Formats: sequence, C-alpha cells, structure tokens
Amino acid sequence: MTKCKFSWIALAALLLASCTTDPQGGAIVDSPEAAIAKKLIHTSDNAVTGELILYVNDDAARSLEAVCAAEPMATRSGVSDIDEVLYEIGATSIERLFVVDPRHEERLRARGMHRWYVVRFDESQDLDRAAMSLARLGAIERVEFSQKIERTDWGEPRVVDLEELRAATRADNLPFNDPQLVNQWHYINTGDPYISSHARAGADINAEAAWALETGNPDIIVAVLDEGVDYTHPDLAANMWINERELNGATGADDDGNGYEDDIYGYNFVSDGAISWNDPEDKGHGTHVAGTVSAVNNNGVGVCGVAGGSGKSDGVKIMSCQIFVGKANNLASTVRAIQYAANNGACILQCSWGIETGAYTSDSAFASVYSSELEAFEYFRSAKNCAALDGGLIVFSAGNNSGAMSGYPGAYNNIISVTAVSADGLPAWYTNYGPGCNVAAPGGDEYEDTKTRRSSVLSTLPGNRYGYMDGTSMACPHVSGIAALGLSYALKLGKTFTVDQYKALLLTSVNDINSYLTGTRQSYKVMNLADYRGKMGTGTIDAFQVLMGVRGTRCVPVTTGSQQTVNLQNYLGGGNLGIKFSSIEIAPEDMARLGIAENPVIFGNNMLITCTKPGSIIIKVNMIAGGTSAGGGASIGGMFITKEMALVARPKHASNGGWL
Amino acid sequence: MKHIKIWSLLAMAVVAMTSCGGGSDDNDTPNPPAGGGVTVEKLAGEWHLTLFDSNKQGGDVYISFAADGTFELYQLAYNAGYDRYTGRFSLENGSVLTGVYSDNTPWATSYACSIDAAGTTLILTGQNSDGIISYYTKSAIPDDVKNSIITKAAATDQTRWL
Repeated sequence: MTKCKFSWIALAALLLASCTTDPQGGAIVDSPEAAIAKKLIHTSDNAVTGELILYVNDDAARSLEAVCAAEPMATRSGVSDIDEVLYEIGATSIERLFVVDPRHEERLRARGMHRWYVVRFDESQDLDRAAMSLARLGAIERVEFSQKIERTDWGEPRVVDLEELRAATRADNLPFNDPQLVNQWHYINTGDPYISSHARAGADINAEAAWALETGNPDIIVAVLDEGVDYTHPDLAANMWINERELNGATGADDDGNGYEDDIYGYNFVSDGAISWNDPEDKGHGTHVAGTVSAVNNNGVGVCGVAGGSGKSDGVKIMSCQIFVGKANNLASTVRAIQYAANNGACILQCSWGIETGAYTSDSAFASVYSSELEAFEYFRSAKNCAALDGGLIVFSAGNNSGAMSGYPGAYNNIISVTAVSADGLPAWYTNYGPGCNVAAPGGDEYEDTKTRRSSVLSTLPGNRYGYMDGTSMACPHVSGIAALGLSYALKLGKTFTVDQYKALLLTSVNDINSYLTGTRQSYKVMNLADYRGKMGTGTIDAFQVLMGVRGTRCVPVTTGSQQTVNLQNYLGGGNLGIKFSSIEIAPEDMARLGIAENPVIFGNNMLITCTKPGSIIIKVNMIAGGTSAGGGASIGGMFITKEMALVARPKHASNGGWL
Repeated sequence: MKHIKIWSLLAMAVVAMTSCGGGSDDNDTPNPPAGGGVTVEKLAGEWHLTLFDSNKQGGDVYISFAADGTFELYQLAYNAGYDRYTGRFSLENGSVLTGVYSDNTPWATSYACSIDAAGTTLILTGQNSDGIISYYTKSAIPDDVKNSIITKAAATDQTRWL
C-alpha cells in the first residue's frame, strides 16, 4: 500500500480518537469531524483528481434533477450550501452518475440509485479538502473517491505472425479447423514440447470434452469491461454483440433511448463516445480477453474462444464496455459500464482488472461505506438477462503482484476471483494467491520455458493480429467463457439456476491442483510450491465438469442401518478441492423420510450420517470455496457456497458403483 | 363379534401393507401397477430415469435392454461425467429383474418390474428391503450422453462405496 501522506483524512482519523462521552453518561458519540469522516468511501490515495462521487439526500436529488433538466452542463445543484462548495472547488460539471434509461429507470429509482451524482472540478484542488467540505453538508450522505484501477496482465503483449507458428494439421485431430488451436494449450494441452518442455497433458480447461456437448449460444452476452474490443477483427466480428437499433439508426442519435448514442457494439465510457483501441498506451488487453471468451471457432482462421461457437454464428456475444483508454480510467466510467451491461442484456461481467493489491485487506475496509461501485455490482447481480440464470454473474482476476491475497474487488466475498496457472498446470510466478482467491484457470507464463516462450495465452489482438499475453487477466476470461458455455448448455437443456447455485457449480467443477504443489518451480523467480497449497482457490476449472453439473445433480451413496463416514471430496470435482466443509442442511421432512435422527456432522472432509430408511433426498452442503475461512466483515477469505447433492441411501449398493 | 373384529383388523393390516411403497411413504408417488406380464420384448429398448424415490434431481441414468439379455447403462451419478456399464440381465416370472455387470459384480438387488399398457413407462422396485421405486420413460439415449463418458482413470476412487 502506498505510503499515506498527511491529509485531511489523517486529521479526521486523529479526530476519531477524540470521541466525546454523552453528557448524560450514556454511549460514547462521535465528534462532528469523526461523524463526517464516516461518510467518506475509500481514500484519496490512488484516486483520480478533480472527481468525486456523491450520494445526496432526497431533497437534494430533487433539486439536482430540476437543475440538470434545465441545464445540460450544470455546475450547480440548486441547494445553496452545496453550491457554495461547488463554487469554491471550481466545479466544471455535476451530473447523475447512473444514466437515465427509461426502460429501467423505475427499478433504478426504487433502489435509490438516482441519488448518486458525479462532480468534476478543478484538478488542482486538494482532493481531501474538497471531499471533507462536501461531506460536512447535511444534504450529502456519502462522498466517494474515484479509485484508479489497473489491468491485470503482466508485461507487454507479444504479437506473433501466425505464419511463424506451427499450424494444426489433420493429424492433430482437433475439433475445430482454426489453425492456431493447436497452440492454445490452455484449451487442449497434449504436453507438446513445442509449447514448453514442462507442458503437462491435461493441464487445460478440458475444452475438447466440453465442445463435444456445447460450443456457445448467441443469447448469452458477456460484457467485457476493459480496453475497447476491436469489433472489426475477423476472428471476433461475427461474435460481437450488436445493438440493432443503433446499427440501423441515425449517427449521433440515441436511437434506442438507453442513454447513449451510437452504441452499436458497446460504448467507450471514458471518452464518452466511440469504442477505441489505438491509444499509444493501449495494449490490446480488451481484444485479447474477448478472444479468449468468444473468438470465432471453426472459421478456418486464427484462434478459438471458449464459447466461440461451432462455425455457424453460434458463439456467445461480446459486449465491449470500455473503461480504459490508455492509462485513463475513472470510477464513474466503470460504474456506468456496469449499469450499461445490466441494462442492455449482459449476464456475465468479465473484469480483468482491479485496485492495487493490498490497498484493501478486508471486505469491511473495501465496503466500509456502501459505494457506488458496490451499488452497481448489486444492480448487475439483480438483472435477469438470461433465461437460465436469475441474475448476473461477476468474474474478476485476482491480480499479478505475487501477493498472498487477492486484490479487490475480486477478493470481495461474493465475487469470483481467478488465479493463474501455466502450461505445466502449476501457479504462474506472478499470480496472487491466498485469501480472496476462489478458482484457478490458465493465465500463462512465458518464463516456464524461456526457449519456446509459448506457454502464454494465445488470443486476438487489435488490427487483425494475434499474440501472447500472461496474467490473471488471461485466466479470468477462461472462467467467464466457461460460465457462458455452461449457461449456453443450460439454455439447451431447459435448466435454470440462481446465481448462488451457479457460482457453487462453477467453483466445484474443478480439478485437483494441491497434489502437484510440492517442490519448487523455476520461472521468473524460484517458487516454493508449498506456499501455494490450498491457496489457488478450489482447483483448476474444468469446462466439461461444468456442463455435467448443468446436466445433473451429483449423487452421494450411503448405506442404511449404521453410521456412514463419507468423504465428500470424492463427490466434488476431480477430488481434493481447496474447500472447507462447514455444515450439511437437510429439510426436516427429508430427515424423517430417510430416518435420520440427528443432523449429519462434518469432520474434516467427511460427513458422518446415519440413515435407517432407503430413499433419495437432496442435501445442501455448505462450504467455503478457496481457503479455510470465509471472507466478509473484517476478513478477506473464501466464498461461502452451498451445493445441492442427491443422497442415495440403500441397504446395499453395487460394489462397482453401478446404479442398479 | 370379537372374531369379526380381529379379522377386520387383519384385513386392514394386509391392505395397509400391500398399499405402501417400498422406501417411500410419499402419498404423491403413484403406486406401481401389479407385477407380471413383462417380457424381454417389452423390456427391450432404451429407457431414461425420470423419478427416483420421488426425487427428480440426481442420478441421470439411461438403460438399454437388448433382446439377447444384455444391457448397457449410462449413469451421471457419482462422478463428474457419465459412467458406462454393461452386463447381462434375466427376467423371472415376468416380474423380477436381476442382473450382473460385465465385471461379474451383481446388481445391488433384484427389482420387481412392471411396464404400463402403453409400453412407455418402466417401473422398478428394489427388493430385499431396498424398496426404492424408480420410474423410467422410454427414450433414446442422447448423443450428448454417449459423448460424455469419462475414462476409468479420470473417475474418482471407486472403492468409496461398498
């Protein structure tokens, strides 16, 4: 964490110590300055200058709406004491943070989200002083600093001329005809030394088995919050989401009334205009992650995407929600991008970025006051844009600081945070690990084999190019893509899930990584693999297992008549998952049904249970995904999940596991 | 009068015993039709498990019975993919199904079986205090299932059950 400078916030912290005692001898109350400081969200450290987010009371909101309706470029609120401060700080604009989309305005207002405003002012103004001045006003309930975020890729992309790489031949016997699928070890890893002398067969997402069942569905929309996605790329264009009304409408007009003009493939929220990817500081990051999610499969060109379809325009769709232009980014853009994704049909938020690792070390520090970002996440989570899912799913990268915890927002207790492994199936040297990390996926590591340098993730880059990148940024879209693939399969089968059920399904559809974490690994640095044991999340995600989890409920066999000790790990994923079981829930009527007199007990990985009658019921297995303690409150930790399993109780089971 | 009362009680008990399902006391589960009359010809075909002890979740199972007395079974139950089993079955007195897997493992139990008049519903009731009633619907085994067989090496330890 960067060293804190003396600031108005530090002063406020000192004043927190000067709490007064109630003169009546009652509870200690905060001093006025302490109470004001409690309205502040985050700190000025690593915050954008000249911008603050405000949550105003109802009266101020009404006044602001009237002013903003009359003055499109308002610099005042219509509330005198607010306007006094706005004048002092040289406000250049004040506008509603969450834009008006008439289709969703009622829902937004019901949540109070119309009361968030973004004020922009003279960047030379002291940010802390400006924040405190606003926080002192009774009409202002919260003041949020605009935290800067960073992409979570490592190093520069390595553009490749595909002619220089080996192309697939018939002998490779691959499911699609994309010539570079043979080099995408992250989907199908044969242990080919051409990739890396350390490549391990099977260290992949098991895409080949999954693609035999499902390749994608264009009804599934994944919002890529990132740099702009090159929607003209030949290996992406067919899978880009298209806002048809804008495509067929007038330039410069908000044809569909969603609050944005010409948002055909998404929108650039930083520049408030067209999607771009050519800033000198752009890396092609957005185009690369989009390709992992849904590069067009089986088109005889380039690479494949996890849910890129089968060559019949049937891949999942990419919505480009641009929140980076070069180094520029700000909270208002990010929040609006999340709102846009929710309002325009996305069901998955793909976020390969975060706040500097260590800036927050607990959920309560990150969410000490309910922020606009948390508000936006909840808004997205509650948006039902997919018939198979009752809300939105949010996936973040864990961060690349080799830190012993996930970065935020990924670390937050109900957000999936993805760590990175390489072609050897082992943790990449840069990956964060530990509390807050939930699942692992291929992120690449060019130092795995410095001779080949092909154990990075291969995907699309802007300008009809392709290239390698490393990072938890690259691991994250593997999880988003698999989530999209699973939802595509759910649509096909007519299955539906709550968001919590689906997260539990994803996080338990993994393979064992812990058994491999012994000894050392030589990469950019020497890694002691035992340091990562139990800390990479539940395991390495497996696309085929996800589809099987969509198809049916996993069963647990028990024999009636005596206490059974059942190792639940045997019935989750590939076994030996990085999870901690906490309890089993069984409905009272089901306990009676199987003659279970006492609640089952959890002992390590084992469930102790006694059934006296045969039959089948559903049990709920509560567990922590990633780590040994759940995140939340003063902790950073794993995600609390509940998985439904079918208990099959019989006097005798076939000894070979057969059903009959 | 006393004797009549005793016989009435006994009759009631017999009725109660024959009308109870095996492991299920769920009044919503229809009672299986009376056994008997099942032939290998009627049994031959592909069946999909649709209800297992009143539970629609868990255990996606397909069974194919052949006229030559062999069967093929696909189950998504205890592993993260479909397991495929083969073996032989026999039908006794038109109402009791027994079987053994190709690895010589006997089925967990024998099953009273019945098929509805339309020939589209197969009901198996576990014997020997198993008592679980399973309903199967005549349904072709999907390619998705046949494409989802996991290898034995990929399956979790099979000694986990008895």
